[in-house]
Amino acid sequence: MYQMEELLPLVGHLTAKYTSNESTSVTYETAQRLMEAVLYCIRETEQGGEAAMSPVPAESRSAAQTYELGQQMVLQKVQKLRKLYHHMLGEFQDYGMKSLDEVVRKGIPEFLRRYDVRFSPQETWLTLDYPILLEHGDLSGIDEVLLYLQCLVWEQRFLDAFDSTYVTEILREWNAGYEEMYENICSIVLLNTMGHLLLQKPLQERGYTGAEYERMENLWRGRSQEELEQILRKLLKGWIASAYHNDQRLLYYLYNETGNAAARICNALYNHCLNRIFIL
Amino acid sequence: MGIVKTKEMDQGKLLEVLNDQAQIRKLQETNCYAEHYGLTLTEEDTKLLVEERRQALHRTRRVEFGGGILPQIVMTFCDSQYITQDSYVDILTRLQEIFYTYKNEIRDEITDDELLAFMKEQYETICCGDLEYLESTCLELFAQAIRAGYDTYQLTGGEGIYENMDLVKRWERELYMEALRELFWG
Repeated sequence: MYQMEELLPLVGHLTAKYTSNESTSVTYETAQRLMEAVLYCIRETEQGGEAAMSPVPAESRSAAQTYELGQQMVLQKVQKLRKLYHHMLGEFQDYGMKSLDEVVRKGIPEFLRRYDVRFSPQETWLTLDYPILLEHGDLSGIDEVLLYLQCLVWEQRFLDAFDSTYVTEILREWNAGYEEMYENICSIVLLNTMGHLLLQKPLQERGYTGAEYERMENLWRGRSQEELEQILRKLLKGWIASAYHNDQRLLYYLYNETGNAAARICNALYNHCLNRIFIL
Repeated sequence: MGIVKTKEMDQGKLLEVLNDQAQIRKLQETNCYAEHYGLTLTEEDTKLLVEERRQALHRTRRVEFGGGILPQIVMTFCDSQYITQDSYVDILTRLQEIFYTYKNEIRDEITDDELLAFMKEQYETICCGDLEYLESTCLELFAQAIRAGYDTYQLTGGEGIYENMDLVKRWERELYMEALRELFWG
């Protein structure tokens, strides 16, 4: 989009600020990092949404103008993250899972404290150990953390429909030492719930009988993984419509797990151990 | 000097040429001050220094934006008693290399002014114009001290601190003069 001769003065200007005008040179690594900072902000404007913030159309903007606009967008995202985090924290539950607790109660505040919009907007600073259902490795900085937190908000919404004791019982049946696990809570609870939905069995009726396992085997045996996934998606869609006011964003977030769920069911069918995934 | 621009010259190369021209111009301007001390740079000298600058930056893996450090090195050292017109370009070249090297060694924890102030003070006093001693002893000790957490140089701007880290016992000036008087005048 912009040529090097337009970007270098921006990096030079940023470097001067970085060194407080007290150094005429920096290492290659520092210069690279500052160049990435400039590019990160410029790329922010390519994601859309900047039209409302700038009266100057994209094709007429200089690199400096685009960079300034991108920085403003990054700042806005930080404010959005802060707001989302504080809203979520009020009723946040970690269900005993340490990795989730660490990232929410320590990781996100640390990110908000350390995040450097000006000199390192591309840095994520966190390892985000608790896995979410979306790939986010190609994102970085505020984009990655904001998406990550949004996913956690969706997960909390999903899990809120269940009694917290029920959730922890499922997790404990899944793995007695689940607190130390690095697995997504929703994936386990969702999978268990699919059994109820398939059998049209109320969630309040806990546990599965031998006959129910057999019925599920008969319903699913012979189906391909892709077919299983389609069945799961249909069940999920109906359930989200009734139990979550048809929250489409939650639905599409959980759709990311249906492939994995179908694979697990196929595996359990093959090994005759549906009781390992349909627990309560 | 006009800008030579051909179809084959890519943007990066053009930027380099423009930057070099700016550097040469800035260096030539230092002659106004340095000539008071009998030191001048010809056009050839400045081209050589700019080329040396590029190579030194490449060797030390550093990037300069803007004016660069050479004009400041000239302004700081041109009044040195140890620099003559014959040695001027060579010494500037070495000082530049030493400067970049020790900005790395000190991990950029020191400003340009502080480092130059330290270098000048040691060059004129302890080193007596010996660049090898400046680089391998004074600056080496200074860098070690800073890496270990020493930060008093920030209060003094890099001056008057070497005695805190000098490993060599040296004469204090007053004591030295007194010793001389006793030796020669009883």
